[in-house]
Amino acid sequence: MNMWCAATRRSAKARLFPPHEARQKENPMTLKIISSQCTSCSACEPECPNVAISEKNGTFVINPKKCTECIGHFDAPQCAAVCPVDNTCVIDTSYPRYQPPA
Amino acid sequence: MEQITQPQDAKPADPAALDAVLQQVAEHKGCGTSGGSGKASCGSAAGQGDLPTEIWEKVKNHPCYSEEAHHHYARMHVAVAPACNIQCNYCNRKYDCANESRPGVVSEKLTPEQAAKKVLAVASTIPQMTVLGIAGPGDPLANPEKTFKTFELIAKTAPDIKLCLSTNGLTLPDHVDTIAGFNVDHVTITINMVDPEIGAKIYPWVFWKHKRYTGVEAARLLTDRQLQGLEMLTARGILCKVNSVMIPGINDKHLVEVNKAVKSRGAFLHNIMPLISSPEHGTVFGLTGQRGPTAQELKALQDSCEGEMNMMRHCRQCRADAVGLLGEDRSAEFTTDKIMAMEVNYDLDSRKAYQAQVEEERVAKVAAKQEELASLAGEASDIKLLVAVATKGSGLINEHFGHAKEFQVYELSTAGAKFVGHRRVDLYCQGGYGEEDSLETIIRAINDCHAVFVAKIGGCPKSDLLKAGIEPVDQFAHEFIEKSAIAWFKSYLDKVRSGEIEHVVRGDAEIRQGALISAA
Repeated sequence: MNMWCAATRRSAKARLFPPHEARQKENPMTLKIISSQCTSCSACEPECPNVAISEKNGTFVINPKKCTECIGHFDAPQCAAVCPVDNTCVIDTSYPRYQPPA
Repeated sequence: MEQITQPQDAKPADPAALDAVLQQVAEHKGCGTSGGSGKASCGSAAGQGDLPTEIWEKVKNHPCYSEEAHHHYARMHVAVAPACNIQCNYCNRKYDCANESRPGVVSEKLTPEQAAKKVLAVASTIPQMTVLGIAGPGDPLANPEKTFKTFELIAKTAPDIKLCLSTNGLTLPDHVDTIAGFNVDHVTITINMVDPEIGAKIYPWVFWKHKRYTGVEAARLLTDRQLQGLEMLTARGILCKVNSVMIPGINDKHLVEVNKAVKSRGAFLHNIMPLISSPEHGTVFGLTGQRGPTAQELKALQDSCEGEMNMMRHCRQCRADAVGLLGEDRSAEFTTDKIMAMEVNYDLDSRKAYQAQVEEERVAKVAAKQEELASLAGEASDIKLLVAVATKGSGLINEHFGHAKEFQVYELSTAGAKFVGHRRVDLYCQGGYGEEDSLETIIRAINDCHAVFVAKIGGCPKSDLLKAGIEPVDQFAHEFIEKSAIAWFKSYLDKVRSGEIEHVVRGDAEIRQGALISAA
């Protein structure tokens, strides 16, 4: 098999689905849920492709270590797309944003 | 309608979910009353009306489908389905005021296991409880695991309880086989439009297959899926009722088209409900000042659709955790804490014995009405008027004027007495009304009625009602509603004929905002 081709394939895959450790250390981008606005409807929980959402003290929270902003899975973060309250699932600016390789 | 949930602190064993169930079940109008507006509703055998026998057998004890049954049987809703997959402009999931109730809001969520225990506890305490519904507070089919797990648990322990669900229809086609598999024989779909241009004004977005759709595209997706689901259900012999929210200026005229579309696809009952819209609800329509219909506007639309199919007029728009009979909500008796502590002994025989007694009452009531109706046979008059009735159920005039939380409204003509709706008069945390005299609220709510039938009434309200042109009638206390109303109507016609009184047309009435709440 052609080496060039294999390398390209690996890099494309790594871009879309970075290994778990890499996400944790290098790309800790994440969304958060504003708990005062959360209605605890649970709609976001099953939509998360990373199983990053769980119920805590009556509202739902996102585990920043698992969140990937749905990059590589869907066009838009699923929690924000399904949330019934606008501006409740938002980018957590205390974490650096994910920068896809150029 | 679909549902909204507002979980308050959902501690592990929280009691919130129980409430919603009962109330919703009890309220719909079921027997799909008879067709043309001239006919007495529920004409023959205890209310079968125009319904085919096989459908009547399925709905006759279902309070959400039979207006007549809702006097005798109770329903409960369990709030196991908090998530929703669409956004409606008349819905806001955010607030759960303790004194307020409307579809989409509940106080507590339940797990399927808690829900099953609650159903058993309620059914053992209230033998009239024959129907369990899942209506949210989100959309049951946006929470399929929780919804179907609940059905599974209840079917195992209480096989005599009918199961039903209420959905927005977006994912309905995906679940029709499962619904049929659980013997769910009644499904309600909320269909507010069949025209995506109109839908775009009602639904800001839908979430489908991992994507949020907006505008006309969202509405087209929704209506296609709703109508497809409706066709699939009726093809399998599952009874379908369609709920529509009447939004003046947006879909009020269009609902006649919706009515035709759903009838042609096999829906057996159409329930047109008034928009609930107050700024304090925080819904889009509440904030934009979109008004709800008046009582006359609602009745006119229901009447115009009635020639097409059976219309339901007894829906109370209860919340997704209601429990009880008629307009009552006994959910506070069945909080999760209380239920989990209850020892439940599910006694099928005593439930059956109770229900047999109810059947005797129903037969007696119908016989009484038929007798009185026969005496109207010779009468000919174009007069048609409305009367309000204070009742606690069982088809009797058995409520004190001052204790009534709602009045049932009957239309009287030489064709008989026909149930056409109800008017809520309970007070709750309603902006702008709290400081007013409750009597004024009542008069506004039944202002289109010529008389109000009560078991008892005090001197003061009596004279105020007379001043407002509404005759208080208490001589039929504890008698059957329809029989009494017909007897009163006969004497009214006599008085008009003799010139003792002059028949005047009454004005419009106000529809109180907000769904029914539990007894304060």
